[in-house]
Amino acid sequence: MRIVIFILLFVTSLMANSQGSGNNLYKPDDDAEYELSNLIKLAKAFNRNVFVQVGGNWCAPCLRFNNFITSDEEISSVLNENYVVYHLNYSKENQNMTLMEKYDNPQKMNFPVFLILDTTGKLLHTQKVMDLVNSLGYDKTKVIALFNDWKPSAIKPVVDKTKDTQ
Amino acid sequence: MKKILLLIAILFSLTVFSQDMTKFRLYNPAEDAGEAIEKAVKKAKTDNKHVFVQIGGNWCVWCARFEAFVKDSKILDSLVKTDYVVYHLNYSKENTNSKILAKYGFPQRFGYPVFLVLDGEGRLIHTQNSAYLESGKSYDYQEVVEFFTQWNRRSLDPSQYKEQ
Repeated sequence: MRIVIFILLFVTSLMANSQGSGNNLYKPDDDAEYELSNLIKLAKAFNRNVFVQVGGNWCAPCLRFNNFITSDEEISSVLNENYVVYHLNYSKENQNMTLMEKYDNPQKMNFPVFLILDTTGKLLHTQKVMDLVNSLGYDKTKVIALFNDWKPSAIKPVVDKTKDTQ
Repeated sequence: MKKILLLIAILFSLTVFSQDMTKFRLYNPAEDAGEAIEKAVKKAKTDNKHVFVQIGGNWCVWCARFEAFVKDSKILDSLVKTDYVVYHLNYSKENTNSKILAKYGFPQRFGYPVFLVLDGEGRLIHTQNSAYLESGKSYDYQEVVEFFTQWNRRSLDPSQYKEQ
């Protein structure tokens, strides 16, 4: 009996640690170019940028990072107000090389690696995950700063102003 | 005697560790920065390099620190010289170069110094928040190496990344 309870506990703890739906976060079967182009249209309609998390279900830090930003209210509100999100798969099944090349091969960095695209799909920024950590894990302040530094309004209103003076 | 020696030692170490800002004159507020960047881009194209734009001013201690950090390391110095044409873009009271900063998507939001990497066509390919490269009162060697190697011309060559 004890052993059975122990096994049950062990199994449930495994399930809890595996972050539930996180295992299907990345979709190797996606037509990523099509999905992403649709999201870019959506981003344009809502005047948001696109936050692309490049990684795979094989990559525990990728799932952990996604969990980190979606479970924190402050982070997810900055994220949701200013971005649409796409999880771009890079795995043995599908490396999405067309998109990797289009975005200057971000896989040269460790996974996850993040891209920020503007409303036209142009690459604005490539972000290394190591810049967003502290000694304990992902750093909330750094993540929020990243989202604020690359949101559309960090760039656009001022652009219009200078157009007037030119 | 011991006390005097100690005092001298402290004074000496202070002058060594405090950045000598009076001699830091890499930024030129009077320069036509647009023209200078154009020139740097052309040179980068002929030399097969990228342009490394350091935005800051002669007033900026961390700009001086970064300069010293790179110059003090043979490896970092040669990484820069091999792969980049360097330009110091001035931001100061005398000249804020605001139109140029607007052109590159307002990098000043990251504070100074902030670095841009341009390719041989003048296209902005990376904006580097220098806070990511800091460590204590100086910079992190490994981070700086990665920055220079991940944004050089070779790192953007698609033939480096064939499907595995």
